[in-house]
Amino acid sequence: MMGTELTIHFIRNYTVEPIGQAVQEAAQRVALSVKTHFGGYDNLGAEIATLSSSPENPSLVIVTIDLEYFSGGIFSPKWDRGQVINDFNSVLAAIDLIPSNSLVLLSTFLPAFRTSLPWTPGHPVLGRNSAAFELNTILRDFVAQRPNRCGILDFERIAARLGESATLDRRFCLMMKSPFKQEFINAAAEEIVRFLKCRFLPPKKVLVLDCDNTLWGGVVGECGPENIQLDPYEYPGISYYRFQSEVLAIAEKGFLVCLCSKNDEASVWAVLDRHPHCLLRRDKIAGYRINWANKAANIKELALELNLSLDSMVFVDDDPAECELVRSQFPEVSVIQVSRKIYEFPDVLNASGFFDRLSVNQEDKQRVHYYQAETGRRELQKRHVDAQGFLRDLKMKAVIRPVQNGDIPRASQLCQRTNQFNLTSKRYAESDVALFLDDPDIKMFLLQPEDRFGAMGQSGLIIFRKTGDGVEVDTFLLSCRIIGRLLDRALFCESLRMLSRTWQFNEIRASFIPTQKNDIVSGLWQDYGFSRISSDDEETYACLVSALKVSFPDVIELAENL
Amino acid sequence: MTKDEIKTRARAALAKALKVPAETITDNASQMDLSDWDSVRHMNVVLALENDFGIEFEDAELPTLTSLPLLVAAVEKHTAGL
Repeated sequence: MMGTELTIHFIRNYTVEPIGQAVQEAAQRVALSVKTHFGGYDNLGAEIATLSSSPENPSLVIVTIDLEYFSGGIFSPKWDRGQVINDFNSVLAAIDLIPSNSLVLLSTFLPAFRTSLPWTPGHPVLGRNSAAFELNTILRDFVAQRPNRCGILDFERIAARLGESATLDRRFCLMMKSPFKQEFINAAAEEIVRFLKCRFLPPKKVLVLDCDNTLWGGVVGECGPENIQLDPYEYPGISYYRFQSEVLAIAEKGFLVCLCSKNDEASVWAVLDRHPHCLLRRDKIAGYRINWANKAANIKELALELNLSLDSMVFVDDDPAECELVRSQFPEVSVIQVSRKIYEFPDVLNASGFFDRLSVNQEDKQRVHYYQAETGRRELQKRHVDAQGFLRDLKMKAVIRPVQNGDIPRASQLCQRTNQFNLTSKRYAESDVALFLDDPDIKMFLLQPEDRFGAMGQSGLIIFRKTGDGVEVDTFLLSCRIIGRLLDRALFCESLRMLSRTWQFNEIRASFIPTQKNDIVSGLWQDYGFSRISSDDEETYACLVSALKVSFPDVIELAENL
Repeated sequence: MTKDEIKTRARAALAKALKVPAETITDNASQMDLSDWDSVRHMNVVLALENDFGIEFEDAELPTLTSLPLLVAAVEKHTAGL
């Protein structure tokens, strides 16, 4: 998706072009290229219908309605609350017809800033003033039921943050149907770009934290665990406490949390294991480097240990020198230097936008445990001289089965996140995977392995397409934490066996699309017995089924379930 | 403020609002020959000049401010005596 131009189509009933301009500028700052289209001012349902029958689907549709002009206009004597709600429901119904590979953002309605009878919420005269509340409830329910497809563009919250004077431009509202001040427009554009980043830019995966004066106040090695500042009933302890609570929320979303601290290990664990107010406990830590070595080197080691790239890491430290060192040695690592204003700590992670996710699934919550089990595997590997003995001793089992409806979020997430063992790096959205499920010419299989150290989660995916009398491997990927265990061969062979029960084919085609990160699989198809048939950027390969040089590994046991 | 000073600042504000280089705006530039100057950008132009000179145009003036000379004349009127 990177490098391609994203298109945003606005369905609107007011002058939204200034927001469009601001989105283009904000997107440019994060190296996203955006083109905007604007629908007509009226008949929103028909606008959406046109959109749903057009061959080119926008990347994002933004539906934004100003109540003042909606459904005949709020100041018309014929204005009718019931009619407004009906009309809005028709707009929502039309949204479901938009092709499912377009994301949709809906803006919330702004409640009246001033009313004539502010203390009588049920008064019929106030129907106009309170309609926004009711419509927002309907809107939120609608979005909540479509979590992976729709999002809220929360104008109400932005307005609450900025205040009336930075939000409403009465002059241009009445002259030009352009109701918002530049400050509001910029804030709305930032939120739209945050949403786009989440979907179209490679995600961050790891949060690397300093300890002293970041996770708590004070230097634990000097003042002792009992004297650090972390008490939720005192300032500044409360700031660090709330910062930790943000870190926990980020871990819940599936980010790996690591520590990188200049300290004696024992002092740090004394806090994490025993401090009464410490929220971040040892079981939430996916990796750590607690020593007196250079932090840039430590971060590099953590990246190697987790088998993740440096550009997926965010480093947080209070020390400007450490931040500068990491920035200068590894510009690809995102660095957040926490401010000296300690009361600003709790918001710094959220505000960075690095930890946004469109949705969260069960795999996200488990992720830290998968990585912790790696430590046990590494120990075992050290005891074995030969690779085969190590693999046998892991006692691996694997479930390999067709992708089902409930797997859509995870299957899409694997496409979005997997960089190294990924032959074609096609970044399918959930809507794409959902379409594939209904396509008789596409079959998808998931791999879910475990070994004696624990489950490894749904961590491999292969997608086949039927092409005439052959089969093409459209996507083949393994999560980086399970590379090097022959699980790719298990997935390939078993899914091919299942495929041959429904499809007749003699030849398999496959491709390798090189990226900066997937060199590790550049020779995979040759290893499997394929021959190269073209030498473009996209290397294509072919192999007769009878000529395959890959078999199901005997160190892995196939299981029905785990 | 001399007329030339006003013209220089107005040209810069106009260029910024339209997101074009100031050199491309001639002395007689108008909505007719600047394709970027549509009705939506006109709001940016008005706001840019109002902010730069600390003035507020009258409602009736807004649709008439369609060229650099007309903008300069309007600014002159509002800044006279300041």
